[in-house]
Amino acid sequence: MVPDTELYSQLISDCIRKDARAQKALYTLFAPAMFKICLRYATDTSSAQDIFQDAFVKVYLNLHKVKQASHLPGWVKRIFVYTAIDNLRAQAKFRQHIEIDGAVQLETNAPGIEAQLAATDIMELVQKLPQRARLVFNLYVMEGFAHKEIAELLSITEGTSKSQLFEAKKALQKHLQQQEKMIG
Amino acid sequence: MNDLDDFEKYLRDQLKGHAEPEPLLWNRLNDALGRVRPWYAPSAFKYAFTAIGAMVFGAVSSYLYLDQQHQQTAQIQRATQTQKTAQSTLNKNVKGTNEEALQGTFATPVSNSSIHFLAPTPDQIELAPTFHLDEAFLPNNERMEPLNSIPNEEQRQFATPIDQLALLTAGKIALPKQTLQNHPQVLPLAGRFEFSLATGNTWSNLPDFDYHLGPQGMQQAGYRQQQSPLFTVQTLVYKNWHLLAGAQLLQTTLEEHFYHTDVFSFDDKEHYLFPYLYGFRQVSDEELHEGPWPYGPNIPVGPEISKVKADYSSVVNQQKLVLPVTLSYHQQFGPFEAQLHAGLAFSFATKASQTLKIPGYLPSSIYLPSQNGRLQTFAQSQVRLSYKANRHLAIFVEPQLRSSIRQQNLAHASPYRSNSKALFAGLSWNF
Repeated sequence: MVPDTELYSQLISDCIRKDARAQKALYTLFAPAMFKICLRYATDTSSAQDIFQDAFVKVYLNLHKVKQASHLPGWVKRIFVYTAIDNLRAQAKFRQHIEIDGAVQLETNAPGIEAQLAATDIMELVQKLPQRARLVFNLYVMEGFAHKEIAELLSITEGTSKSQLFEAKKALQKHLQQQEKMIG
Repeated sequence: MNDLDDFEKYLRDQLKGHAEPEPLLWNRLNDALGRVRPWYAPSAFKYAFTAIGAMVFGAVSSYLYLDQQHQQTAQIQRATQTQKTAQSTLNKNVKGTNEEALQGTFATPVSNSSIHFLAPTPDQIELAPTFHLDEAFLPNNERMEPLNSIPNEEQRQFATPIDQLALLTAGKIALPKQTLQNHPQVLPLAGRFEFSLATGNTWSNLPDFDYHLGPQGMQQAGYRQQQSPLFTVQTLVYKNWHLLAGAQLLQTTLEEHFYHTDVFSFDDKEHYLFPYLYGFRQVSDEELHEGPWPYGPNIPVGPEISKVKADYSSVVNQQKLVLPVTLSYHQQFGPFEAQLHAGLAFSFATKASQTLKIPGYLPSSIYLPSQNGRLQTFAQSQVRLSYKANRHLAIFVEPQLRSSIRQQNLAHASPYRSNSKALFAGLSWNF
């Protein structure tokens, strides 16, 4: 991974010098993966764009804090995840989310049903999850955080983190089942 | 890494990957990165620096002004004294030369006093060059110079040529005399007027909203504050009592956010009615392109009636001209002054508009004719605490309370009495 490290190191130093071409290169390198993360955490595309912009500004302003160039991708991803969490916390103060209740328990080993749905549909379903459930789902399933870490990060108990993950999966299963019926 | 079950693994596989952001996002980010930071300090520092800046400016400018005035006065006094000295010298000179004339010092009688005091002594006449008598009376004759260059005793008393000039022009400069009968001209109402300019923030109360937004609907509202300028004139009425009139430009912004709110369409043209404080904002289906509504499609709830659930915001902007008229009592404590005001404020809405923002659509604005030109009357009270930098200039802070006299009936709120509090800071000039 030496070439990558060299590339990252060069990008970091150029971006710190506010070189516009390096900033664009850094953006091109990370934007697609990071925008996907933003979409997962946000309720809609517009919110995702806001998170995306805030996070990228933070990245550019804090690049000098990257100690090892090889850690750049992980560091950038962490900035995006934390910015998304901060953004959702701010929204939570004045926003009420849809509660998805009455979910029906499905077989967990049934990928065949879901396979018929496009990834974009699943993304929309994730976006419609209640905020806390969406956060826990993303952090646990997508980022690989343990429940204990999630609990510390979101200031909740470990049990709440587990129950929120369960709620998220339940709600997603219910919606997948409904969509499967519509397709079928 | 966590041990994921099959369903979780499936979801992870579906959700990971890339999503290309819109190309415009880079431009937006570029704008955000290139944005110039405001130079001014935020919040409390802003007020502190403004106040200190105003005080320094006021103190320096008034010092310079007063210093200039002082210098002018001193110069006039010096000129008056010089005039007096010259006058007394002239009187002595005239007296002396008349005596000399009587003794036959001059062959021809002269009456001009300006020539008299330049008259040489008998000893000097002996040493002086010979002139033809007629030449001595020719004005601006260069041959007169040797005569002028011979100083008499009185002229020797003046050390500099400027002092001598004062002697030559004595009695010809019309200087105003500073007496009780002839005092300097002043404005007829001087000391009775005070002008002030201030800026401040206003905080208003919110009405008790009364909406029917549906089972999961939610509304939140708040006023966005803006600095408003205030100009006032005060005049002395009797002893410590003053009358104040002024003008304030006020801009209020009421922002309402609606979430998961029922929006109905009642007519065959499918106009959707978005409720907001002053009524309903009507938007045609053509503008909305059938959604996309975040919470599902239209639900028919009767013949030609359908509803959707939507998130949206309503921003009502109003520009107002407020004219306060108050009676005030002034009490001075050394350089400080407290003014207690009570009176009325008349508010005219000069421009009212509403902007509807629905996610996924461009914001849409309209004027609100029912709100334009509306007159509201408020009871107003305020306390102005000022510090006089000098006899004219003062800085002040002014907390203010306003309460509407009549209740207002709004479409989606209980009868509402608008109250506001404000804090101003500014400068005043006393004439």
